[in-house]
Amino acid sequence: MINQDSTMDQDSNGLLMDVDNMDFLDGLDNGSVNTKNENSDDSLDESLSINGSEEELYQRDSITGELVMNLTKKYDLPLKKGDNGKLKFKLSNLGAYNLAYVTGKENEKLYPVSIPNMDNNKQYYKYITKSFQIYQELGEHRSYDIPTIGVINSTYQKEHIASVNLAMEAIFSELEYFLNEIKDEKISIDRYMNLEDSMIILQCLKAIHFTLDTPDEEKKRENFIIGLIEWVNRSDGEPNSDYISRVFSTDNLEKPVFQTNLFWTLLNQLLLRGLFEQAIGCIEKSRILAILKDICQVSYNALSDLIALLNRYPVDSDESFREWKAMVLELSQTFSNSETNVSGELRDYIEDTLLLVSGDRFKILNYSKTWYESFCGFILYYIPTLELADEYLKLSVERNAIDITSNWEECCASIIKGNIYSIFPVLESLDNCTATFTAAICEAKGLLGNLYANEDEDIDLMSQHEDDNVLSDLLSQKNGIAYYMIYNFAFELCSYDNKDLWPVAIGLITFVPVVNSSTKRMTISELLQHYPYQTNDDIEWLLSVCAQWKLPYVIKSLFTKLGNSMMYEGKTIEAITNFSRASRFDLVKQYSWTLFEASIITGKPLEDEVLTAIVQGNENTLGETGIVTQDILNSLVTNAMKQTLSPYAVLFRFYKEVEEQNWSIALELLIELITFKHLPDHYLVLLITKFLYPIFLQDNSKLISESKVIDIIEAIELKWDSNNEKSQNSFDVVLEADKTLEKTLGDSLDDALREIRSKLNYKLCQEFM
Amino acid sequence: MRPFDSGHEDLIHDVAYDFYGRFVATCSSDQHIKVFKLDKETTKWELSDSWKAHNSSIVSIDWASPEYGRIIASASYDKTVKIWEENPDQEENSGRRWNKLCTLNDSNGSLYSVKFAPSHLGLRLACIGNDGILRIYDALEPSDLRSWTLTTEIKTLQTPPANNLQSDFCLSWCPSRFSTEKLAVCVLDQALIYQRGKDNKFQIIGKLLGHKGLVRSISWAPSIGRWYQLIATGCKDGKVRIYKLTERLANGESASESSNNMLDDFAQDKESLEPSLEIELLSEHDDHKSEVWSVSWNLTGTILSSAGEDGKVRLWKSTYSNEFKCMSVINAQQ
Repeated sequence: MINQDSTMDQDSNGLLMDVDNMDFLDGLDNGSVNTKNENSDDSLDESLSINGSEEELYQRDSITGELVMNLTKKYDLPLKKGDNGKLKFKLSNLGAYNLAYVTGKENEKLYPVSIPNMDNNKQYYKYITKSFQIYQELGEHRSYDIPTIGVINSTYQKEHIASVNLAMEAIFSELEYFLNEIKDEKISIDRYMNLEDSMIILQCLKAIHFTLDTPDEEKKRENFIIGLIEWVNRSDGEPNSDYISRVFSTDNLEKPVFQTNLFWTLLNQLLLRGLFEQAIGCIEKSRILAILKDICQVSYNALSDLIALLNRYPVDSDESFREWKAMVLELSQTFSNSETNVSGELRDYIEDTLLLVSGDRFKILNYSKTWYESFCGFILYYIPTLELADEYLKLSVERNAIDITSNWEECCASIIKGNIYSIFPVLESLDNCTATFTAAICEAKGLLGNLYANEDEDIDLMSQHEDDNVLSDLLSQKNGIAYYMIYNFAFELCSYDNKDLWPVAIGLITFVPVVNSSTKRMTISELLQHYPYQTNDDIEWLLSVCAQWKLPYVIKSLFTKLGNSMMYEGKTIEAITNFSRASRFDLVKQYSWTLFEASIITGKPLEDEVLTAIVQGNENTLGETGIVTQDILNSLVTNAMKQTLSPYAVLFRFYKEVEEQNWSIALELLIELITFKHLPDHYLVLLITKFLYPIFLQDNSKLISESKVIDIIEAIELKWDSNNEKSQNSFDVVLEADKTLEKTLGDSLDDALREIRSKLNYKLCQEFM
Repeated sequence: MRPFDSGHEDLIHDVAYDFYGRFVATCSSDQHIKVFKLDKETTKWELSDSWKAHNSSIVSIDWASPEYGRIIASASYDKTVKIWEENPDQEENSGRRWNKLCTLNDSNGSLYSVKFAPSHLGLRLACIGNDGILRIYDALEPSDLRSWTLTTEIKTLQTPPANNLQSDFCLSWCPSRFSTEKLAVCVLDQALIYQRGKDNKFQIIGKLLGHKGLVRSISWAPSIGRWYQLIATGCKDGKVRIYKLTERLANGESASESSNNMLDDFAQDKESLEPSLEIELLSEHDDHKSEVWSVSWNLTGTILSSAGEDGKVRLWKSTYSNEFKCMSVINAQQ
């Protein structure tokens, strides 16, 4: 039994619920729970303490009735009271980092705002992941697919119910664990209370719908009774310690506490709530037994027997309950029929208690302060069956109305009525994770009929043609509320600044059985483009999902982005590799030529070990670098790159030959480049003005064969365009690097061409001579 | 997170997040652009760089997709759009980290809005301003981001508005990869949907009706997991409107059904599709009871924000019963 001290001493503490074990209360009394969200460290309560009253803090919107949250501390809000202003707001892809600002005079501040109810606590992330694992492990039992006609596999049915009930139990435990973990953390009290309310709703749901039908579970009745009592007592923590102290403070020799109405009301309340040990402790502390023993043996016996019966309230089986109830009825009957030596009032009190425990409907209702107390009382003492739950609930709410301002009361009543559907909007507003997985498990249990599935085709909410498209819309009503919530939650997870939640989001989308795989594929492909990868492992995961769902577009997009990132980091080769993997051959070509150009401008090979290794293409050389292994090289160089980097490879060899003064080979290599048909026009100018002219044409001792001169002339005829802006820019760069060239080549491309032609003529003449 | 001083010396007109939400760019009447980056450890926005970008108020700013590098476009009352690229070799806060790639100065009037097209359409942007002409530019050569070509000019108004009258212009691209190229353009109190046709020209294929004042803001929702599109507008008449757009092909098939086949190679059949558009005003909300200055959607198009003259931000969420309900109210008024 919950909340009971193992030893019931005479101290009044023994009469109290074991608040120490009620972890959820810790921190609230001592104020250790800050009324602030972790990521909004200066939110509302701070403004409350500085600026105003609780009323101000919890003001409600006059239009919607929603609670209004302040953008920042009240005194720091951008608009004065009564002032209007050009307020603007931008939602970010990360839900916690939205910005508001006022386009107004003398306000240049930006106001970060998180989406309300977004919990960025690490423990919450763990809770989400754990809950997902529980759902994932349900496997085939995630969908409710129990045949009711044809050959029915009863073993499967049993397995299904057992698995789903176990999953609900596990989700409940995870929520309990999560609450326990955050109780000492600096979190918003609203958030904490919302989770606590979720817990109460879940506890009720678990007790009513996920306990009694567990197959082959010997303790299912016990679990049900315990669950019920836990739910009722968790809900409001009544009777509270102050009240109990107040009741016992009236105790005096003239009028002992047991002669007061307050005492018997308290005792009966404890009994209705199934707090047997506390009730017995209450009787014992009142000293009624000691006094009755001397004055009224009948009453003494009745109370002693009651204690004995309460001590062995049967939770194991219906049969033992029937036996127990027969004894209670007999006790009650016997007492009613017996003469007593106590005052009429005290006798009535004792009789009422005995009647209540024997299941008297009127006494149960009379002594209940809330509808859930009497509901619990009916289950405990009348007939412990859910078949009468509707009736019990009806009687209970007729006596004590449901508090509609409470988050959980209406939900719990709906759960008892079997109207599970209606709890989800409330549960979702309290905590989306709990709501989603609860809905998913309720769906798996078959508790959720589809609200819209059987309605006429002309429902106002849905246009006629939507029927055609039901399979291609994730958020369609026809998928049912559970799957709607799963998708919404999956989407929400992608807005958290936490990449670890992405596998959960993708997993949730994958699991839903009612949507076709094309739709899932489209959705996943759209979402994945926003995946905030950081490490190689992240990229591996992303690629594996893309491979699984056959998403080449996402892969291309990823590699293009990676290529750009690498480029920004100055890793050109890695960037080109990524562009190549993205099939962005335009970029592969562009950056390969950029490398080529950079090398010409500096007049030497680029100082890039990877690039050098690639163009040397020799394992021995690779070994010398000590860094670039053949494996790395193989992974870096794609076929496209081999082609696009080949001009640079020739240029590299040219440098080598020039260095070794092998002028004829160097010239051949240079002419290979000059006559390369894919060479961009402006690079022809670069090659000729930077290398051909100063090394070969200006030096009369270096001969050039007639055919080579003709090749050069043909290339010039084909590609030299003095009006080409890029060519002029290239020429300017060459002149900038070697000021002496301007004296001979001039500063315009036309002048340079004339000089080059003249030199080529000379080479031809030289050859002829 | 605490409010922070942007450092701007005059009105802030626009803020834009980069693709992953880790950087935010702001622009102001002080003619400067500022870029802030999110420090994950402290969850604070730190200034990365600030520079004078235009010769008049800068009123709109946007980031290109990271597939094209780190690029920003800004539009100003000086009648130009400028395109900027980050140079990581320059120090942060040096004022030189962002290089100007190009100035687009075709507009005859102050510019009001600039937006990059979604990445699948290439490196493309649209802008609109006081001359009432929608202009679309393309970087036709991906290797040369300094070269932008004016590929489309559409006169959205018979005559530009008189200078003495209040006017407003804004635009928003359809972000869906599975839909034909579209953009929503707001011109004064009209909201028009343009679509690129088979002839490669833009045509008006629908209007978002009902506005009774200048449309201050428009936002086309990401349509992840949905076969229809959502567009929200914020209007001077005090209303937030949400429109549902359904594309249908001639054969009755929904456009999204066809797009299932387009995942591998989106472009292949795009030309053959000519969907018609059904536009429905899904909901209309006058909760702000005053001019609505901005609307924006979250990453998945499931939450809409609206901010109004009443000093309140409202967050709207679609419910299971297919209605948009106000889920939160954020107050900016003391």
